[in-house]
Amino acid sequence: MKISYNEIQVLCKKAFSGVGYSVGDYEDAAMMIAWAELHGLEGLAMVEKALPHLSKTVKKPFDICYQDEIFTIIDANNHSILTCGAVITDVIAAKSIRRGTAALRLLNVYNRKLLLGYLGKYALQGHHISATWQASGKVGYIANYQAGNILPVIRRYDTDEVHMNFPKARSMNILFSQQVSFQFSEQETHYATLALETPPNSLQLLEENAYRNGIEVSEKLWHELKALAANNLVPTSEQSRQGAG
Amino acid sequence: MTQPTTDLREPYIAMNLTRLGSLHQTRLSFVRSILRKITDEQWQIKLSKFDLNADGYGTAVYQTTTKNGVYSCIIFAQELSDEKRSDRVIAEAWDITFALISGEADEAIIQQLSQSVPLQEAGRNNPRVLVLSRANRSVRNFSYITDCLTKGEQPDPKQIAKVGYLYRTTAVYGNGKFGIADYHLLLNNDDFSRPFAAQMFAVYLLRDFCVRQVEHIAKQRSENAIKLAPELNRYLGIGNSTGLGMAPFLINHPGLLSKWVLALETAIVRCSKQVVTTENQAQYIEILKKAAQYFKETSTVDEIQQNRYLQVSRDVEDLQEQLNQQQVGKTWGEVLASHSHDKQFESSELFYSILLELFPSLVDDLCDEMGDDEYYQLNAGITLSEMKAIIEARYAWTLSYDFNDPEQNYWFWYSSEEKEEPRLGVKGQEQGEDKQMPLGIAWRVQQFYQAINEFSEANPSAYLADFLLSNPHKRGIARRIQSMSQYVYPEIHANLFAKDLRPLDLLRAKLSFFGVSKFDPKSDKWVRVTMFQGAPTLSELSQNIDFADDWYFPLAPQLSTENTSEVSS
Repeated sequence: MKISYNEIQVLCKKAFSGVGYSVGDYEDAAMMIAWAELHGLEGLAMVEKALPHLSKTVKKPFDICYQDEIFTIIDANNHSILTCGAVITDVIAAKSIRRGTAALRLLNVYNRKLLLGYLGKYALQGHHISATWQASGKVGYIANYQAGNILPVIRRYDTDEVHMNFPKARSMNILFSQQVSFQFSEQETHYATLALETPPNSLQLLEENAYRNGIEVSEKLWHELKALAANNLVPTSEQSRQGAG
Repeated sequence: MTQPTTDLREPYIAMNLTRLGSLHQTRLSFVRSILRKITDEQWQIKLSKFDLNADGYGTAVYQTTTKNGVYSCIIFAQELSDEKRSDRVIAEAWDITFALISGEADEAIIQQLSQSVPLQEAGRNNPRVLVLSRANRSVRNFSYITDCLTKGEQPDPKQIAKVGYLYRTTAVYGNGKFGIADYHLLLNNDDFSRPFAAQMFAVYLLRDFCVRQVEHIAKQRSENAIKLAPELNRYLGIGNSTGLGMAPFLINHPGLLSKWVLALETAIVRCSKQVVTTENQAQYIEILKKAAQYFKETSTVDEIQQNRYLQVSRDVEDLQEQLNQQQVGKTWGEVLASHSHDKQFESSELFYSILLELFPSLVDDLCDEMGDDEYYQLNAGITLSEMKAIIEARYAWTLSYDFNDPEQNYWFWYSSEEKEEPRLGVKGQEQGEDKQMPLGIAWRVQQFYQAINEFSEANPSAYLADFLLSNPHKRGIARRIQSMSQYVYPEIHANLFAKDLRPLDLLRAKLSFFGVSKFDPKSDKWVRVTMFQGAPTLSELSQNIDFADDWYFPLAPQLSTENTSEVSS
């Protein structure tokens, strides 16, 4: 079935609120999913896989393994990035504003691609950002944002061995800079083959197409999200109906 | 973009909920601005399909051509038993359902929409649909007017005045609901980029259809049937029935609310600085007389609102008396301030809304500044001292409530299983408190303020980032406070948990920006109003009759005898 961007956002907000996310967190989770789906990055497919785990893990906090003025290492305890990605990004951005640069290594985290929408908000504010992660199998990703542009350039690499620039599975490296923009290095191609480059204008086209034609969602996922959203609803009583219009 | 002027009323004045709940339509209201746009840009609107049976059931299509595009409004009229006719949100069938779509409507899309539009919330719609809505008859007016026209008589204006419409809408959906187009698609479309412009336009077209439908039924019943007199046609608006569903909108869209109120307050400041002249004083008095008559003709069974209306009439007479004396040379701000300071909000806000009518060139440009991108961002790099300073500067009003006082902590807001309709429950007495909606901004800010104070005591030089790592669930309110401190009027200064809360004030605040008239509360939680009553009709617009944007305060018409015998063609 086809749904609109706003429907994804609204339903995901309600669903994640129904799971137990707090105000702010459920708004950002919904934004990340909708943004990814709008730009062809399979936001809904990732959510479908993540849903069974979200309801169990939402209350568990992440752990700060190390932090100083610039570097931060956080263990997400095998959560989805929807659970912790926004607040951690807020903190890293704050460090970058203070020190000019900030670096994060995020360990044991799922659904990393979903963070791209949230990083874009900070890029728009004037941060240069680079995010690097390795997906399951032998696929590495780098997303570079130029300050002022909400859309990144995303590169996908095929690799036979794990290159140092691609963090270990279920991890993600994020760099913020106030002064230096991040460029793709030829170094990656020594260890990996560039499989696909998606520039901002391609993401823009995907976005426009999704707005115009709607977004496909499986009825199964739609009903699963609706069921979670229904956790927020209160049964009707005669008392509640009184004068309600 | 217009910069906020320093002479604006303070937020604690402008955002007082009782004041917001006393606002009237103005030149900035969305029904007013869309009609000016239609006429200024000479939109071409034609009825391209009118396929109704003898009972008035069937399909109609209005096609509109603007300089930017083509739109079609497809209206489905169906038979509905009295038992199924309900304005409640739980209704599942309506007399009329309709959709405004982009582009021309061919038979294929009409057929497709005939399967989804009548279902409303239960249907899935084509992304070409910009607005989805439904309406129910005022059975009394519908039957009465149809019977009169069938008999070749014009209906009695006094009878029409009691209701003021043939149909009332019970929801007008936009922005991606049920598969329809996202608002994003309209953002760069000059036709409908202003808030709710597409929705108001669709309702305006429905208003034309309603009259054509009764005229059609009358004609089918009798060869002697006549058309509705133009004065009565103008006097028929579209009703709207609104419940608590509208209330959370203002809390959930604080940036947008701020833009609306800022436009209004900026207009008031600009106009208040103008000097009273003999001419504009006379113009003000004329409008005031019309307003006085309008309020005399407006009544409601709601005692509070009825008393407000009666008091308005008295206050208008007082102001009239004052304006009959020499005021030339003073500023309008001086004149109205001296007269308004001890008046009820319903009256003082009326006086300012009339003032705006004198100076269209100082007001109308603000219509383009009432949208907001709602792009909220958090800066966790500030210190907690800085965060506290923001709260004390912009949210001090939230810190004065005592939530240990049961009177201040009485209600909770929740979503009902009935179509997710917002409702109010009594804390400690009704179920659902654990699922309450986060609408208590004052309570949330106070909780946040206390938490950062406690954290600061243990960590005197802490940054907000440090606090959020320990309290990630407070991000939402932290971001709201920071983001909203960049706006002038984002928050309604009220405790939405308080026992003496009048939810109706929230509804009216929003409806006044829509431009409705005839507030007729049915309880303190729902209200009936009228839209476009007195506005030029579509046929007047299409005949290029000179359009004066002076149709506010609609008065019951006096019928001329020549209008009583025009045979329907």
